[in-house]
Amino acid sequence: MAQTQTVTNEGITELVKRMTDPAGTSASVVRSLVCLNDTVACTAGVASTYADPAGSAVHHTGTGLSIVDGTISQGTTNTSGDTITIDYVFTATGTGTASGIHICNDDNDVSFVECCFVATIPMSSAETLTIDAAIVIDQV
Amino acid sequence: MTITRGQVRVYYKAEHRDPHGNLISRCADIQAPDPPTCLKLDCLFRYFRECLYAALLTSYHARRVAYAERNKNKKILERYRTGELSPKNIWQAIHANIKLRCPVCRKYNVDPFLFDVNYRR
Repeated sequence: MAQTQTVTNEGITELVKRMTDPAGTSASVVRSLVCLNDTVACTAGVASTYADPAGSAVHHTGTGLSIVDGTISQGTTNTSGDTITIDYVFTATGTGTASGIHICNDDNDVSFVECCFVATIPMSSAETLTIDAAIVIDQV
Repeated sequence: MTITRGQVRVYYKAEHRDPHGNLISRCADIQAPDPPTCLKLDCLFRYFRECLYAALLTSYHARRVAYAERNKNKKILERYRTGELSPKNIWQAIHANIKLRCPVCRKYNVDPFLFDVNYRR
């Protein structure tokens, strides 16, 4: 018989549970998100880091678009509990351009995910940017 | 040896609204096509077709969001704010891209080739 291996369904559920960590005790869990600041659309890259986002983008540090804790929960897309959902509504307090977002850890020093919008979004004061993101871990 | 692959995918939705709650633009989440799993000609052709569709769709949504943002306080077709109806195939994506570049087509909500009733609203 051929050698076989696979990630199990319950293993995926446990992995996502660990990453969402309802108890909030780990510094490495998915926790926060921040808008990328750039005047041109970026392209997400695997080599991007928290300190060095895609292209010429940097993190917003004010105007309501800076790093905040999002609403994190465990959801289901294909396998039970295989999805980390991250939601937040940014409300701009001034003018700024959002070219994407970083989804970060609890320590705010690592980016799990880089999302680049299809076009830049110029924000003005009191305008809102609603982010609904999901990270899905699954077998192919 | 048999290997079952795993994958991590990211999906997102971003909605930009004015202070009164009116939608300005909604960014579309476009997933890159899965790589081909065989080397047969039809597999490669299908992958090429999916790549072309993804490229046209990305172009359309990038232009659509930029257009909606430039006209945030003006009345424009709702589809350019919501991203729906989104083109469902290469042909519709070509139509949508041309229509978006054509001020007359946008203003009067007509298809640039004047016969695709499926892409009128």
